[in-house]
Amino acid sequence: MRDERLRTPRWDPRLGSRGADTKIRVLALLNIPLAIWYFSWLLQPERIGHPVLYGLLLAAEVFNLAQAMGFWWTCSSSRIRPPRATNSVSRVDVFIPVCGEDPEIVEATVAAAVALRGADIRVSVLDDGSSPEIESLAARYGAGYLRRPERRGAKAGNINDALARTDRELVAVFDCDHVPDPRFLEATLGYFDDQRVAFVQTPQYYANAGRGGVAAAAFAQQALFFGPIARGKDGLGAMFCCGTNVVFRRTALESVGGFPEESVTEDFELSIRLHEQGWTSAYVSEVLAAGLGPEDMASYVSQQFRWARGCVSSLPRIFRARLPTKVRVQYALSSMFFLSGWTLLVYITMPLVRLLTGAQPLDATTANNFLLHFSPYFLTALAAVSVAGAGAYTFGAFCLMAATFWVHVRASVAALLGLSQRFVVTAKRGSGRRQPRAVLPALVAIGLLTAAAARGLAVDRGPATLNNVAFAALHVTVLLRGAWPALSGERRARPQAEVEPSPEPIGPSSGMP
Amino acid sequence: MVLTGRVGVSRARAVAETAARGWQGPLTALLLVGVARLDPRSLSQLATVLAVYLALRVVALGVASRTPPVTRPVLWGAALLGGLALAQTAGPFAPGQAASPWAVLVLVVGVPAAALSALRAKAESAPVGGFPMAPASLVATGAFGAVFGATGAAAGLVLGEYRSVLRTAAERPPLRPSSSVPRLEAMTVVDLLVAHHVLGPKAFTAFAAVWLLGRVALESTGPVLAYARRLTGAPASRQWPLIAGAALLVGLVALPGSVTRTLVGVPASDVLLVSWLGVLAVRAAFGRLALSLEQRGHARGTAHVLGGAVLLQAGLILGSGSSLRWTVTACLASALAGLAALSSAAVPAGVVRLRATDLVRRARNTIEVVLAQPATSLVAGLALVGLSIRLAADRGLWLDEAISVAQTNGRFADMIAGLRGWDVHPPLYHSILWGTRQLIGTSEIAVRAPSIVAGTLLIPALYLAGRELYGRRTGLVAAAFGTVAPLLVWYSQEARMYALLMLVAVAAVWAHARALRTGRLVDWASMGALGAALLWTHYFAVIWVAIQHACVGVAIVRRRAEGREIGRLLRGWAAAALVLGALLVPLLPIVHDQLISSPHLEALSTPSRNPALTELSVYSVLSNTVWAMWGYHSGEVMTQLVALWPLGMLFVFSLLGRGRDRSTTLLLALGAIPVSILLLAGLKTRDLFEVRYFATTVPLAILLAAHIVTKVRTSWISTGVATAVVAASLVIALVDQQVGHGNPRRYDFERALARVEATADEGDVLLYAPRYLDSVVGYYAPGIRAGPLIEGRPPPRTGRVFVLTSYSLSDRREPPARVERVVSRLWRDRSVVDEFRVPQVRVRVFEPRT
Repeated sequence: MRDERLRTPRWDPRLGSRGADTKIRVLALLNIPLAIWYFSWLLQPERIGHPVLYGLLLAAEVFNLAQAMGFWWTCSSSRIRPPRATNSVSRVDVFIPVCGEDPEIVEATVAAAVALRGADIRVSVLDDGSSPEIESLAARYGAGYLRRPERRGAKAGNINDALARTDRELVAVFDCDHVPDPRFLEATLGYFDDQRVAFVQTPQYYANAGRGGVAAAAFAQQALFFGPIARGKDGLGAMFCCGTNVVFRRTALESVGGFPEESVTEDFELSIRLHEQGWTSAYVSEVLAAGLGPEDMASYVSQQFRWARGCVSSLPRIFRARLPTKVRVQYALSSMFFLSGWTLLVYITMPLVRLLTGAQPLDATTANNFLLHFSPYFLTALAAVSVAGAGAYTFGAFCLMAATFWVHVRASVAALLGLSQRFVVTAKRGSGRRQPRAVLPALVAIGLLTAAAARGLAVDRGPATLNNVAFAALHVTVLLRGAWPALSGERRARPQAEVEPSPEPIGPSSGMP
Repeated sequence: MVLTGRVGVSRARAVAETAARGWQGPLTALLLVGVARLDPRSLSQLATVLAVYLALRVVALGVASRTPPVTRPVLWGAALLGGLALAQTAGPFAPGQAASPWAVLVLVVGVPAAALSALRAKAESAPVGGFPMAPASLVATGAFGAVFGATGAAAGLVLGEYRSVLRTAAERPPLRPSSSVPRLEAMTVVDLLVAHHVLGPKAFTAFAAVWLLGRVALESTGPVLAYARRLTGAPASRQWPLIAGAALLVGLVALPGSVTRTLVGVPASDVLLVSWLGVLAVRAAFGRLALSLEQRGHARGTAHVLGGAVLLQAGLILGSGSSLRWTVTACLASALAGLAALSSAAVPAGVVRLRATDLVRRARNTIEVVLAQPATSLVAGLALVGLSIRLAADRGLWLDEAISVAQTNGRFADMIAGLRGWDVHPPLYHSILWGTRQLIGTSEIAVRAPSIVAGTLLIPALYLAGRELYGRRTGLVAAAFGTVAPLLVWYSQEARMYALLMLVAVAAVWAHARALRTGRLVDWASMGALGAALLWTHYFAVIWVAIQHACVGVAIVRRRAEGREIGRLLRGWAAAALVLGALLVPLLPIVHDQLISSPHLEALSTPSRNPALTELSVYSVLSNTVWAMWGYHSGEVMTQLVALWPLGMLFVFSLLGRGRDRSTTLLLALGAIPVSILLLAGLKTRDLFEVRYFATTVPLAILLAAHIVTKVRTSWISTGVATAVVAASLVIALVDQQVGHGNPRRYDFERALARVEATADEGDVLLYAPRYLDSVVGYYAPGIRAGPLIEGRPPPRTGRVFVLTSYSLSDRREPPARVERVVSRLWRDRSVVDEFRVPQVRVRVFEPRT
C-alpha cells in the first residue's frame, strides 16, 4: 500500500492563473459600481426596518464588502515567480518537528527529507514526544535526533531550541506529515540570492483530500489560499510564513529572536516581525511537499480554532506594527477573515427573528427591491471567487466554513477576553466516528431555523413569510451539508487502492494556513 | 426440424413481445388522443357497448377457466356467436345515434394497446380485467365500426377478443381455473350497469368518461408491472403498490380534470377523477392480492371476500340515489373493504412483506435496466409521451394564434405580401402554417400541428444535443425534462413560431458542438443553415447567431494562442458563414420592406403596448425566470414562487467548484446573453423582456439542468433523487399550468364566442375591444355580425348587442378606462340583460330599453 503523499499531486496552484489577473480586474471593476449601487440603496434611511437588526445587517454587509474588496485587490496583484537556480551549494538545516505523531507518518517525511537535492543538507528530527521509535527511525535514515530537556513554547520553542543547536545559514521546516519533493530545495534556494529575502514559502497540499468530506472541503479552502490569494500576497510583498514547507534565512530568524513562543500561530506572528524588520518574503507557486489535512470534524475544528484564535489575537499587533500600508492591510485582511463567522451568525439570525417575531432589518415597503440591488453585486462577487480559484473553491468548502461559523465567534470572544490557548497538534488521521459535538452549534441553528420556518408557515403563508422560510431553507441546507461529515461518521483511512478521487474539483478557500 | 421450428416460434414470440412492449406507450398515447377527441354522446355510447362486452366476457372467462381444454373450442365458438348477438343490442341500448369516427378511432387504435398489456399479463397469470384483443383484430374492429357504426365496432371488438383468446388457448398451457377473475370483472360491470341505471343518461355520461379514462390509465401501467416483476422476480402480491402508484401517476399526469370537462360537457370535478383513479388503483391491488391468495390455496376465503365486495358495492350504489360522487365513493369503499379483508388474511401468511432495502434495490435495478435499453427506444417513448401531452391541449386559440391563422388566409403570395407590409416576423413559420392548413384545414389542432410537431421533435433534439455536449445520460435526462417542461409544452400547443424557434435553436447547438468536435464541413454547413433557419423564424435570433459565431471566433483565437493548428477550424467557420449568408440573402428584401413599412415596428421604440407593464421590476424579471423553467401560473402562485428566490442563491452557491467546460460555457453564453440584452431593452420598452422572446434560452436551461443533475456522481441515489426532484417539480408545474385556475396566458375566446354564437339571433351584433380582436372573432364566430367598439360609431338601434372585452390585451390607445367610458356613453338607452366571464374575457349583453 503506497502512501498517498508519495503520489503525484493532483493540484496545480497555478491553475487558472493564466489571464486571471485581467479577468479579476474586469470583475473587480464591474463589482465596484455594483457594490456602490447596492450600498447606496441600502444606506438610505427609509430602508431601516428594525433598527437593531438593520445595524447588524449593515455591519455584516460592510465587513463582507471589505473582505471582498481585499480579495479582488489581492488576486489582481497575482505574481508567479520564474524559476531561479542557486549559484552556490548552500548548507541547509532541515527541521522536522514531531510531537507524538505516529512513526509511520513521520517516516515518509524523514525518508524524503534525507533525499532532498540541491544543497548540503543536515536533517534533524525535533522530537517533543520523546519517542524511542522516532529516535530509532531518525537513526535508521541517518538523520539527527534532537530532544530538548524542557518543553516550552510548543512547536515554536522546539524549533528555537533546534536553532540554538545548529548553525547552517538556511533552515527548512517541514511538519512531520509533509513529505517534501526531492526538488524542494532546488526550487526554493535560488530566491535567497536576494539578500533581503527572509523566507521562501511553498504551498500546503493535502494529499488526503480524497478521504471524505472534511478533508476535501478543508483542502478546497487551502487551495484558494495557496492559489490566487498567496500569489497575490507575494505580488504585494506580503506573503506570510505558514509554518511548514518553508525555508528561512537563519540571520533573519536571529534578527527577530527566533520563533515567537507566546502565540499559537507562531508562523503568522513571526512573519509580522520579519516584515517589520524590513525583510521580504517569497512564494513559490508549485507543490513541493505533500501533507495530510484534517480528516474529521473535530480535527478541523481544532485547527480552525487555533488559527482563528491566533490571528484574531494578532489584530492589535498588526495595527501597531511598523509595516508598509499595503502589507499591514494584507495582514489585517487575513486576520479579520476569522471574524467571518459573526456575519454568518447575523445572516442566520435574520430569518429566525423575522419568522418568530415579525421584525425584519429592512423596511417591508422597500424590501422588494433588495434583490434588484443585491443580486448583481452578489453574483459578480461570487463569480470573482470562482474565476480566481479556477473553480477550486467548492460548495462543500463553503458549507464547511458555514457549519463552523461558531469557531470564529468563540475564538474572537476568547481573544477579546484574553483566555489562554494551548497549542494543539492537528490530528493526522480521521477518527472514523460520528462527532456531533463538533458541530453542535450548527445543529442548534438548524433546529431553530426549522422550527421557526414551521411556525412561520403555520401562522402565515404570505410572500414575506415564504421569503424568510426560503432563507431559512438556504441556511439549513448549507449548515447541514457542512455538518454532514460529522453526523455520518466518515470511514477511517481506507487502503490506498480504495481511495477514490475527490468528488469535487479541488478548489479555493478562505484564508489562513 | 421440429425443434428448430419451436425455437423459431419462441424467438418470434419473444420478438413479438418485445415489439408489443415497445408499442405499448405509443398506442396508449394515441388512445389518449382518441379519447380526448370523443364527444360526450359517443363516449357514453362507447361505455355502454363496453359494458355489454364486459358482461359477455365475464361469463365466457368464468366458463372457460373451469372447463377441460378439450371442450373449450366448442365453448369458445358458442360464446363468440353469443357475444356477436349480444353486441348487436348495443346499438339500441346506447342513447345516441351512431358512433362518431373518433369512437371508431379509439377502438381501432387504443384497444390493442390495452390488449397488449393484457396479453402480457396473461402470460404470467390470469389477467385482472383488461380488453384482451390481438393486434390483428383491429382490422375487424375498424372495418365493422366503419361500416356499421357503434354496433359494428362492438361486434368487431368481441370478434377480436375471442379470436385472441382462441389463439392464446391454442398456443399456451391452459389457464389455471380462477374464480377471482369473473368476480373482479363483475365489479366493473356493476359499476357501469348500476351507475347507468341510477344516475340517468346525463350523469352516466360523466361517469362513463371517468371510468374509461381511469381504465386507460390502469391498463397503460400494465407493462410497468410486468416489467418490474420480470426484473425483481417478486410474486404478484408485492406488485400492488407499484400498480397503484403507476395508475395514479399516469392518471394524474395524463388525464387532467379539465379534459374530462371538455369531453363530457358537464362538470366532473378534479376530485372526482382523482377519486376514481384511486378506486381503480385500489381495485388493481385488490385483484392482484386476490389472485395471489387464490394461487396459494386460499381460493374459498378469497371468493367469499370478493363476492361480499361486489354485493357491498352494488348495495351502496343502489341505495345512494343519483349522486355521482357517492357512486364513486361506493366503489372505493367496496374495493377498500375487500382489500382490507384480504390483507388481513395475507399478512400472517407473509404475503405482504416489503422492506426498505428491497425497495431501494429494486428501484436501482429498474433504473439500471431502463438505462441499459437502446436510447432510441427510450427517446421514442419519451417523444410519444410528449406528443400525447402536447395533443391534450384543451384551450382555444388566443389572439396571436388567431392572427397567425388570419395571416395565412388566401394565396401564398398574398400571405408573403401581407407579412412584408404589416408584420415584424420572418416568414418561415407562416409558410409552414400556410402549407399545413392547405393539407389539413384550420381546426384548432390543424393550425397548431406545426408547433405540436416541432415541440415533439424538440424532445429527441434535446437528447441529441445533450449527448453531443455531455454524454448519453445527460441527453436522456434532458429529453425527459423536455417532455414535461411546462413552457415547452405550452408553446408546442400554440399556433405561433416559438416551438419551431426552440427546436431549431437546439438543433443549432447540436450542430455547433458537433462541428467543433468533428471539424467536418457538413457539420459546419449544418450550423450555418440552422443559424439561417433561426433568423427565418424570429429576428431576435440575430443575437443567438452572433453569439454562436463569436464563440467560434474565441475558439480560434484560443487555439492560436495555444499554438495549435487553426486552418481546419477557419475553413469550417468560413463554410458556416457562407451557408448562413447565402440562405439569408432571400430574407433581405423582406427585412427591408418590413423595416420601412411595418407599423408594428414602432412598438420597438415606444414604452409599452400594455399600460399595466410600465416598469421592468424585479418581480417581472423573476416571473420570467420562473416562467422559463416552470411555466405559467396564477398571480397568487407566482407571488409565492417568486418569494422563494433565496433558493436561487442556494443554487448559485451549489455551483461553486463545479468547474467549467466548453459545452457549459457555450450554453451559458447562448442562454444568458440574449436574456441580458432583452433585459436591457426591456428597461426602455417593457414589452421586449418577455419569456417567449428568449424562448431559445429555455431548452438550453433544460440541458444545463440535466447536466447538473447527472453530474452528481456521489451515488446513483443522488443522481436519481436529483433527477426525480427536478422532474417532479416540472410535472407539478405542468399540471398547474395546464389545468390550474388563473393562468394569465389562458384566454377563453372559444367558450365566450361559442356562447355568443349560440344565443345571438339575426339582427344582433357583437362589438369587441380592443380593436385587434377581429382575428379571433373571425375564427370562432365567423357568422356573427361583428365589429370593433369605436367611440362615435353607435350600434344599430334594434337587436341585442354583445360587448366582448379583454382588457389584459389592451394597448395604450385603448386603455380599459377609455373603453368603459365608451360603453357607458353608448348604452344609455340600453340595459344589461346578461353578463358572463371566462378566463381573460368578459361579455355583456345589452338590449334596447322598451
